[in-house]
Amino acid sequence: MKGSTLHSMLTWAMRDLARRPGEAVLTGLVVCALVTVTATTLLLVEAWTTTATTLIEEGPSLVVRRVTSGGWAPIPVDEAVAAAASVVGVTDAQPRIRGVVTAPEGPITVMGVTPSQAANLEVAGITLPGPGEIILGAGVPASTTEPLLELLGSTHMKFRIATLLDDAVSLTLHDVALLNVADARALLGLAPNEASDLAVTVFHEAEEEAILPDLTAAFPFPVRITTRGEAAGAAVAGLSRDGGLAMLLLVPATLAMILLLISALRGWNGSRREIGLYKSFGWTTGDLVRLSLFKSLATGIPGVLTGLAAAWGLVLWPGTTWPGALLLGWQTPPPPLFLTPGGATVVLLTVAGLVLIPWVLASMVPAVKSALADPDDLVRGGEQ
Amino acid sequence: MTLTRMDVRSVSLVRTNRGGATATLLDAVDVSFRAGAVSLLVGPTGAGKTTLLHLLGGLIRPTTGEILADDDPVSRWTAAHRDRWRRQTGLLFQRAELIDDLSAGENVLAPLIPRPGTLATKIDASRRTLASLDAAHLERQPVRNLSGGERQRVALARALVADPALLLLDEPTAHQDDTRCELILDVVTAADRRGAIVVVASHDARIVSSEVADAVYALDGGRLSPGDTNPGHSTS
Repeated sequence: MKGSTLHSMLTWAMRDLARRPGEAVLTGLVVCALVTVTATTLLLVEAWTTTATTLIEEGPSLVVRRVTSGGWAPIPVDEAVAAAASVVGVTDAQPRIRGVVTAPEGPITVMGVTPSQAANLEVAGITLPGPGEIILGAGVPASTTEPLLELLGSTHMKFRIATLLDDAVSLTLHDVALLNVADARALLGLAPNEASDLAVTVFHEAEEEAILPDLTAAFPFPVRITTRGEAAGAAVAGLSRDGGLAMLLLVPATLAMILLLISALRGWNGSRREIGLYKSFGWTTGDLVRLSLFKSLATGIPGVLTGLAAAWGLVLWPGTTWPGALLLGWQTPPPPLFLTPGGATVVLLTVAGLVLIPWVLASMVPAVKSALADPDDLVRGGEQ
Repeated sequence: MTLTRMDVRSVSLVRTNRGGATATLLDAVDVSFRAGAVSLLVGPTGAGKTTLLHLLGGLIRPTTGEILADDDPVSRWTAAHRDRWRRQTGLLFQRAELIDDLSAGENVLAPLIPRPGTLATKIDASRRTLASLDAAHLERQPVRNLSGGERQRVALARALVADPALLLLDEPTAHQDDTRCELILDVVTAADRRGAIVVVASHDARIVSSEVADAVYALDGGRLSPGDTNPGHSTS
């Protein structure tokens, strides 16, 4: 098709849509809504998977916790560090003072800033919490209007909120409250030489699994060691459960899509006469298919693009939290989510394809069905 | 595109309705139409005039027999080939058959859209054709607002706009006053002079009594018989 004919056909397609502007706009809105719902769900799951994986990768290779018959137990720092350091392949072992305590707004994770962590925080420009002070991550559920925050761990303690951390500083501190190490030990009921667990770094990622038997045997007390892979698996399993529930939202979206397609297919009855007329004055089936294609793309592409943009904003626009709360049941603001270019492209193309391609194909059906029909039958049939 | 001759050979058309009853709309019709001549089909309502025009235009296929365009068996061609061939034809339907929510200008423009040429030249052609039928003032009006006569002139303009080699006109002067009737006959004569094959079906006494037709054929009950034939024209 030459450029001038293509221009004529495109102009005619736009004019044809303008004959029923309300219908065209409504169709575009339906496509947009379908894409928004579908893409928001898929993008949210994809973004959270990517973000959680990144967070876990930034964490320690292994986490060692002491276990007793009664459950978790504090870990003696000097003894545990020495035991871990004795295993070939371990490059670092850092005690962590962290645990979950009760705040007025709900449970929060607190972490005592150890000397090794302090250096990293100071590099990031964070003033370390002094005695009686607390630094809150952006995702910590706590009222910041009150000057003091009362926490309940092994004991009641009140802290002055010193700083609210920006997510830009560190994603890993998004849902963590930082305390002076002595305050953290007191709140969690740890003795001065005790820690909650031990973060172990190994020389090579592949050694995480291989080193487990030696590392377990090195401790003079029973331990439970969590690998990075297990942590990732747990995160993905939780997401699969929540994401599965979110996918239920796709059921009404799918039904809406089916209705849209049926509407496009049933358009055949209304368009028979016109198709017959077009054919009577020399339009070919190919011309009619092109006209349908241009019309469906003219309504579908803006709808899809707007829907994708809306989904992108809902998932990734900073501060937009309700899609996560609605779809995945998040009760606290999530960390800023991000996507890898490959993952995002797959999601966007999938959604665009799932909505746009069936819609375009269904819109072309009337023209294709006319291929073998006599124009006279179409014109007379359309009048019946 | 040029056509010199359309031949209808032993063409019959039988329709079966939903109840299973059959009706013979055309019965063994043999006739030839030549370029540069106007042929007039006359006959009572239901005689088969419209059916014959639609067969000639490739809108339907005969049950038996064949339609030849310069010896090409058009009626045997596949739908795709007939679609393309139909670009040589201009058909005025008996009831105009316009697209009601388009303007008159757009209705006339529609046949030109998939054909080569810029949109501007196509719009110019549609305006010229409307003007030739004293309908230039109707260009922007939605055809649903037009009178019967105006609608028929717009439909005639649509049939003429691509300068078809085969012009098929079903009651072209319907709803027209005498002045407009003469105008339409002039347009028909002009098409004839530029070498088109022109076939007109009409009840209108003004056409029948005019000298526009080179040959007149009478259809009755689906059977064709020669009517008042002008010298130099013959039925087969």
